[in-house]
Amino acid sequence: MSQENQSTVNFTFKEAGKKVNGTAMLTLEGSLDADAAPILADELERRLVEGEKQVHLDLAGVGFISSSGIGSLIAAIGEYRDEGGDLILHRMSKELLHVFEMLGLLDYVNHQP
Amino acid sequence: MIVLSGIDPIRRRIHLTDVEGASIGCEDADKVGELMSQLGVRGFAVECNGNGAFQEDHLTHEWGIDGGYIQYNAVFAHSTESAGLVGEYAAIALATSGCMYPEALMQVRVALYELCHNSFDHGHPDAEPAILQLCIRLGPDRIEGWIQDQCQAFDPLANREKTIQEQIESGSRRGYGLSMVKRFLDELSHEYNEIGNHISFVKRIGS
Repeated sequence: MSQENQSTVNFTFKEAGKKVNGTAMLTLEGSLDADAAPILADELERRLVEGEKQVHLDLAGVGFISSSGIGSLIAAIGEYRDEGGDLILHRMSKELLHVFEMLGLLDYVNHQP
Repeated sequence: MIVLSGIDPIRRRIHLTDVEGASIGCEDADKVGELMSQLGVRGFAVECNGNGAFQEDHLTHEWGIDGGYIQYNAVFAHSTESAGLVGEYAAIALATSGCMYPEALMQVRVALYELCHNSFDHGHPDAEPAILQLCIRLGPDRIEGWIQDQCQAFDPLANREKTIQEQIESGSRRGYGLSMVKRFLDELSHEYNEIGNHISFVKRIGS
């Protein structure tokens, strides 16, 4: 089932119709800032509680990430891994990759081209 | 080179000239639009205007050339929302002035966002109206500038920064901001003056 979130913040996500190895792919668009981060965190927590132990995130449409966005992703990755799963980050821009790299987080996250 | 002569981030309009102050054509405006798209800034309609100053209720903006630097001075109404606008404004101003280092632009944008967000969250007295001033300068090898708020004293450099490993192990969603500011900017200083917090920064580029 496709699900879409739309709010006043410059951020949306929706579930892609096609699954990756049987697990969901969420496509994120916009700025992953202090307003958007709780929206994403709630969605990822809901999915984990409902038993989805692996979720793929397509970040090609994310043009900006703040500390709140980083914090939400890293905290969620820890929670998924604690349950034996993971979050896999896809299609991060060069600028986004550089942000993770400069923070020393690139080796911690599971990221794919 | 294209120069941003006016900007209205809330209505997502910008005004562009060449360095002589003449309005640029649609072709150049389209190129700027493409650049903004690459930067992840969406929805801007480009307009042309030869003025070196621009004013709206929420924002006053000036630009000029000073000692080899292209300089922008902007005043924002200070709120949690303005943190995003300040960072976005800086990225667009620098990009449209010819700064072709997208990674540096992203880092300056993130750092300004974090600094503005922090100063408001930690030091804004009640709900009194406040302004935030931004000066940003683009030189051949650096981006530099300052922000001045009207908030209570908050020195972002005074707090101990957690290591990334400590941060990961804590499982907390908060606490990455200071790491980002310190790692993304090459020089950073804080002074509390008669107006509020004054934070100066330098980001070296192209080296």
